[in-house]
Amino acid sequence: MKYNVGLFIPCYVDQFFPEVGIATLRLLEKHNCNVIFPEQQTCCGQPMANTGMEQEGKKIYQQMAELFKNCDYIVGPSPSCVYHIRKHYDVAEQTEEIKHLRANCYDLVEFLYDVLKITQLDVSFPHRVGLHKGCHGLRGMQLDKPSELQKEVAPKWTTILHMVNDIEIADLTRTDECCGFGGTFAVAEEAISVKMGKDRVQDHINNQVEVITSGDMSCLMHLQGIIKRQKNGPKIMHIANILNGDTL
Amino acid sequence: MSSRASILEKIRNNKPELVELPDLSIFTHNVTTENLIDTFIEVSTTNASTVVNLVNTETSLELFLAKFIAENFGEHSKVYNTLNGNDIPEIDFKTTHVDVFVALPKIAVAENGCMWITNEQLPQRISAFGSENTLFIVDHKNIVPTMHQAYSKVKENIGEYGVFIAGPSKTADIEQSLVIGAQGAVSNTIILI
Amino acid sequence: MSIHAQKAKDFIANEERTNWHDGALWHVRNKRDISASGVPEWEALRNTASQIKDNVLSNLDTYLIQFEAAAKANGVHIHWAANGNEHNAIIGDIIDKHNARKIVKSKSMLTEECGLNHFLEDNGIEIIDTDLGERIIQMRNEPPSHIVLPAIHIKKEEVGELFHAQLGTEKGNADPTYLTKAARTHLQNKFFEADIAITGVNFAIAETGGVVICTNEGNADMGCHAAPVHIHCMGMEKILPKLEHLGVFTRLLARSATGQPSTIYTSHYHKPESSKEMHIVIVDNGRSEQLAKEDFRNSLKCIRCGACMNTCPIYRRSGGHSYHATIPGPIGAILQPNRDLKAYSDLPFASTLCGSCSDVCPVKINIHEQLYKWRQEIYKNNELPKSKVTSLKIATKVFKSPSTYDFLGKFARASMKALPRFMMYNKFNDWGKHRELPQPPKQSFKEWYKNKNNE
Repeated sequence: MKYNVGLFIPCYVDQFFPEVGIATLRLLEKHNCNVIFPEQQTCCGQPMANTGMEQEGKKIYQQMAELFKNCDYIVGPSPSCVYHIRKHYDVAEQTEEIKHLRANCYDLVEFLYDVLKITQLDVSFPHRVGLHKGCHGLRGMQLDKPSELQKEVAPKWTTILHMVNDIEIADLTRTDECCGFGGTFAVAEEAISVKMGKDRVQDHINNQVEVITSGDMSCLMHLQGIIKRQKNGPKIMHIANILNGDTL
Repeated sequence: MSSRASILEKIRNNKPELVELPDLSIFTHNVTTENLIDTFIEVSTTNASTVVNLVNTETSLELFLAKFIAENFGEHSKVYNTLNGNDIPEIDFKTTHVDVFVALPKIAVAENGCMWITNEQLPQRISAFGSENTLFIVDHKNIVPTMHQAYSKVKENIGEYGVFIAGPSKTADIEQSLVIGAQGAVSNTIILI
Repeated sequence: MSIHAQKAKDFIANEERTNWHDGALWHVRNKRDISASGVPEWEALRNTASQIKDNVLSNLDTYLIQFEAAAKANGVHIHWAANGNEHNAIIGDIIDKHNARKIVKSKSMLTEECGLNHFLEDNGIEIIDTDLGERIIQMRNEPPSHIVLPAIHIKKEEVGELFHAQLGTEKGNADPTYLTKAARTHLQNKFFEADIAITGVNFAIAETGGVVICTNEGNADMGCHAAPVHIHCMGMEKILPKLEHLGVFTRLLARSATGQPSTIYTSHYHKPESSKEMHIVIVDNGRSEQLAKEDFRNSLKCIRCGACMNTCPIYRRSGGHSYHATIPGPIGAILQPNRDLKAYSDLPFASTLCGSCSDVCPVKINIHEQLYKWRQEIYKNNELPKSKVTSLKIATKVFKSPSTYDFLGKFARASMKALPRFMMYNKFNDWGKHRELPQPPKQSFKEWYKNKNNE
């Protein structure tokens, strides 16, 4: 059966990283989805809500839900934004549209693993890759096992990434420490945010990583900013681009 | 209104609806009792205790103990021995240096090396802390797997004062460097019988 | 800049020291992981501990009354303090009654919270902290920077100098074993000189009327057994219903705190030794108000293990003092706003909401979710900085109107390309101080999508 999938492109991906949106769209189409992109979408409201202004952000929630009401699934290349919708749209009036959106909204990798249940990918990425496990995807949605927990968790990110041919996934010293982006935290606590980012980058450098990938472009944007400034460090690529077979 | 009354009233007004206590039996069902001795020895060693295993040996405890104390704490060491009951003359720990405190804990715990002694073995509570060294005789039949079994035995006689001791006192308060011998005993020996 | 952000910036200015601090705490977090992974039923223990605490909070008045009756029957004196001042006054009265002049105290975050040391010092009483880390910071006249490792921010060379100056140790000797021995000798005298010993309380048992105190150094026991009077100060939430519940909590506490399978001493005080006196002070100090707040009450489950600090990537890199509060770190950031929302409105923002704190918490406090909720409260109470409010209100307006969003996005990307570097990376651009901005692409995803469909 062919799903009608609503493509959810977070605002900063739309504006700064269109290639991630393009890869997501192509990847879904390759996997037999009928992709619909509602062009009226803007932002999920996370920046406001995480700063405490949920009451303001809430004004966008219904608008978001309305756009996707006719889709079987809503899929976006960002665990962080998807997590926000699932978890924090609880403060909106629980209309049919909101309920539908919250119940059927998926991160791209999670969708490939849980819904499409893919078992192979016909692409190659002959590089040594460091997987940055963004916190909302890791601890909020358990797309991999958080290092603190002592229970079995299906490693969705790692499993999907391993389907890529010729890829080498590096072990990191701190497997899942936060990169320090944190939305407005990145500027409100600039010193710590940068220090956390530098430490993350260094871990990848120490483990001979050639490309840092992640489900969230926001973490990568922060890490990339640091790498470019210090003129030292791996390349950056969103997981959607790797899974879509894009070259470095 | 007294503070007691006002605090209790505030709690009554503010507390949530009653939540039932959980069942603890999941922690006591099907617990393995294999390797209890080995586990206890391993954990106690990690806790910086010296362990001597006399289980399955013909050695006389009394003779061994006398020899061990003489060799390790000196021929004329001052011993606070509670093995033969608690009728021990009172010692002023402020002015008297006691080399070693000796006791037989009623419970020992395999998972963490804890050993239970109460006021019955402590005619002076300070004896187990103010003595330079501690020495515990652990009957291997008293070893239980976890703290759950330990507390169900403690329950039989909680006593006036009771303490689980898991080794010599220690600290890592200076740069996380582990130092054995803080304010309590500076060494602990366990003799398993 | 918020207080935390400023203090964090100052801390990080010494990058080498920041790395050292981060590494020391990461090491403790690692030990916790190893220890927890050795207990197959770890997650079940956390769930159970959390449920026991839910029960306690829902029945706290009954348990406190039961506890009081059992303790009194054991000959223990029970006192109730509505706030910190009353707590200090009660202790002051006991001191007066015994004409006491010298006090030893083992580690207690509650007495820190109540400001007991300053109160007693102002009244001419000598009070000596006997936990080594506490003693070090007391000598330095500093608050603890961590609730379990109070001197984690201090280097051994600094301790060496401090002890040389105050305890007469050899100049330049910074060997931890040597320094610990010196402190041992110093403290042994203090124990035997003391008129009264004061301790905190890890757990109190409603059924038996006893209190449980956990230490590694043996200092609480040395103090209590050497002095003729001992006083135990407990936050009222420390109650557990029955002795058997200690089985759950003693398995979690030390493993979460330092990765040890147990603290070295777990002492159960039910009655005073003959001819001695035992007191327990039950303290509210804002806890009953906290109990009323549905979203925040379960922060009262905290057993003060410090695991959330050790795992917190911000705490490790900003130090405990950056939280300017008695209890620092993630748990401090959700406890302190209960006391004073305005004074601590920066703390819930000293987090990326990464959630690691909630994952290590042995009683499953949803710390990062409470941080998120405190942020909402702070906005509602008009305590958010104006700059944040204004810019995010504008952002909301933009996001509400797709056409404005599209237009402004295009404008911003064009400006970023057109602006010379010195105008982009100026002092108003906090992002750009140590990071590059992303390269604006030729077209947004939406523009690409439109073009694709028009082709």
